[in-house]
Amino acid sequence: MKATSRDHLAEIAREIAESYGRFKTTISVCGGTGCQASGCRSVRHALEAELKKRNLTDIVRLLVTGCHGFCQQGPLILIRPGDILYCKVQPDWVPRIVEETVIHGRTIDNFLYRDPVSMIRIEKEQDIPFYAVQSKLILGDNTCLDPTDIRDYIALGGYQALAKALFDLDPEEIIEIIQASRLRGRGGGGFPTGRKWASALKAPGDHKWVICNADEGDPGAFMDESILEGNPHLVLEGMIIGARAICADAPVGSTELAKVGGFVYVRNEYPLALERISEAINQAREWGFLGKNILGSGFDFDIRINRGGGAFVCGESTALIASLEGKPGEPRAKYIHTVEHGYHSEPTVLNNVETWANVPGIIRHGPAKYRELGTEGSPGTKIFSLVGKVQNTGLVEIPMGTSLRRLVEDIGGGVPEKKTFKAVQTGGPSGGCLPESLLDLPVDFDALTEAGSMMGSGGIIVMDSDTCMVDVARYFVRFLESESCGKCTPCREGLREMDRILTRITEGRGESGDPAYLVELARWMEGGSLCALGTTAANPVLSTLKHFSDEYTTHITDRKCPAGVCRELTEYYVVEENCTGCTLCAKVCPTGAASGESKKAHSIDTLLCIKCNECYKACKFDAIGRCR
Amino acid sequence: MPGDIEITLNGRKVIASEREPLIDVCAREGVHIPTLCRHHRLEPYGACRVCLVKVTWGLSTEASAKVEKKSRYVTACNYPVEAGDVFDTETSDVIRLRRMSIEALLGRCPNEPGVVEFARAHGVTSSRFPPATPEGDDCILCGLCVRVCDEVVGAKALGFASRGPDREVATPFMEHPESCIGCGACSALCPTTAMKMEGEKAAVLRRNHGDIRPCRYALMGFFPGGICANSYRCYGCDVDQRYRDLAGDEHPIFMARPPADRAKDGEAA
Repeated sequence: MKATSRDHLAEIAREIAESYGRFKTTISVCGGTGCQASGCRSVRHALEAELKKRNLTDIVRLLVTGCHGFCQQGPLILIRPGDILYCKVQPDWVPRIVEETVIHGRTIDNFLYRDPVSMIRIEKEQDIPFYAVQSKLILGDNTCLDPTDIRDYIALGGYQALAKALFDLDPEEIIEIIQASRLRGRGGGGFPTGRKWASALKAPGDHKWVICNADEGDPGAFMDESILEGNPHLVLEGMIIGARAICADAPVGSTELAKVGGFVYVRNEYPLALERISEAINQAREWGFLGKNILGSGFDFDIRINRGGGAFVCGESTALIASLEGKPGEPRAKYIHTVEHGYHSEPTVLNNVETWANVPGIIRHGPAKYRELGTEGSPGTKIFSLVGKVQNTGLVEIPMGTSLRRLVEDIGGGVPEKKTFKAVQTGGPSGGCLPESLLDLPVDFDALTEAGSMMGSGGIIVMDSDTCMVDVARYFVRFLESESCGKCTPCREGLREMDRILTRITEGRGESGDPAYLVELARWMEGGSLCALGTTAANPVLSTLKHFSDEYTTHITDRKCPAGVCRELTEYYVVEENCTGCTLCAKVCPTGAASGESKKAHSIDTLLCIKCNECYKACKFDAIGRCR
Repeated sequence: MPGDIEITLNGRKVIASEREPLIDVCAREGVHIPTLCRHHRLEPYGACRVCLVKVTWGLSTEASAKVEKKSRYVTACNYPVEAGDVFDTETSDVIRLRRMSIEALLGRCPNEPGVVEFARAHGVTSSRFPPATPEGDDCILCGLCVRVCDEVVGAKALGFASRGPDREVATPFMEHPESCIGCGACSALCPTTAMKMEGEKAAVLRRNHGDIRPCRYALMGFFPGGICANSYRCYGCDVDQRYRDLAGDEHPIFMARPPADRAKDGEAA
């Protein structure tokens, strides 16, 4: 079925929406990667079976969607009308859910989300604090559509922004709208998207390229993954609009449009995202949104998929382009701009998945509406992956300018299990760690950078008092060391040297000059590296040195690790006043180091202790100490 | 002249061509920029970072009171100059960055005479960085060998393998590559002893004829741009045979070498 014109598209959209009218109820099951891991497939099968058994498949729609965001509480079922959200759903709950909620409209309290502080059960998705604080501009449709069926996207108004761009606007006007929206790149750089597109439009050349950077390499980040898994057509529509926007007419006076080609570069470690985007491209072609003469406009454009080879550095734009060209993924100097000479030296616009996903909404609703959310310098929303020592881990979308505290406490629900908050790491390996005193900072492109971190692509890792900040710095240094392409001296040798110094600090062989040496290395890497991997590589070290310097001092001078993480600096002992003599530690101890009589204070023989941490994990009375 | 622009170099105003590589401007103006991975016959690579300079963009007009200045560090070997750019090549921050890169390479290869000498010449006599291997490495990963084989010789027999600190110059499966024509250009360009090729004949020709290994018939003008494909083992070379027939045994270059030497051409390098 090809949509041959704008009017035809509108007609199809109407028809599809009407056909959904026959469904009285929609059950939306989250099928994102997180919920797959929690077991949503068996829930889905149970629902399919139950609905079939009860002959409800004609009036109840079972929708398997992309990520809903509330990953900590998965598997998730959202029932509409009513917006009833059931959490941590077990397959054997399904018959009851169908009987009571679907058929009789009654909510089952025990299946609802329970607020951990108030202990109140909350029925509607939008009333749950995790969701209530969010503004799901990009992710909102995830719960309403099947990412494997383009008709859902069309029914929700999909590809109508494209129609507007093709028929109501010329390239300069499309770019003006994007510039007026002040959209900034969501991959971490924050470069004004409109400006990038304007340069590409101006650049001479009769073949141009648009690329979607889906190489998302930051450890723990899954924003782009979830967009591709949940709403791949949103990204495609953005790319097609972008392709039209940079497509100047070929030679002056010619009626031929310059040719534009597209790529989506997806990291190989995202099999589900790859499947979804491939299928979406196939369907888009079938329906006439990709290929020749799109919607009858005369514009031709198609997209190919390229899989990454497992290199973080290929998320850097020039390295990505080198990789696409079949060369090793090594960055090159950016003195020659990729918008003028990119893929095979032709004008290229490379944008992140989330950036592309913002485009259709801006074209559809206008730049002024877009700027209603967010801040002056950073309009719109940003998607974050909130992970680590926080109650509600998952995917959240908030207006730019929301404070870190709101993210960590109101949405995240704070640090669990009576531990205390210690730091929040933002921006992945290029970012830094911020302490509690800075939690009121707004999250946007500029405020966090001034404080020594950065928003980056949206990874937020919450850390508690059991986290060693020196160890965190070393973790990021080691990650970057193994991912550095190795071409330039400061990054390659600087990271190797930082690893050496941090390792010896965590092993109790730190020297008093180490912090100053680390800063010296950092300044060299910052100023001298060839690409952003190197110039930002020192941020985790610099930010922890700045905000947690006493921890470094304790490691170096006192040879102790306050968090009890660095094995050589940890000595396990029993806190006698807390010990009840329950013998649990002795039971889990693999070497017999922990021992004692029942109901009497136990002790730990440090000569036998291998510091496996099992006694600490087992003890319910806070009677195991790790740092004297 | 059209395309001429004005830039500031170490406080002095000089004329350059728009987008000309900074290092060429510096050479013309007598400003020394140290380099390790640069060669005039190759595309600039920007890897060693020893040629770093500071560039500041000034947007100042007499009429405008507001002046916006940003500065950053760029590699002189490939930076395209623009009108109004202000460059500093010898300020203390630039020297500090430069010296640390040299210190890192010296630490990596402490036993390489070429590196030690270069470091000393730029004020670096010791290094806090440990050697790459216990014995000390001999490669500074400048890439000259890989690039000359790719860009000038066209054999593409060398490449890089592995990432980050494990990066090394390599051939397919670390075996002698089929596409290698044995011209020795890699060895000729190598600033250390990492790239080794062959024996005396090559050494003589290298001494006499600089970096790129011309076939001697190229030197005679018979074979423009020809690169020696046979490690200067001319006795066994068909190019030699062909041109010897053309030139005749009476040609000066054959007269210069005693007959006994010609037999030595067949010895293994």
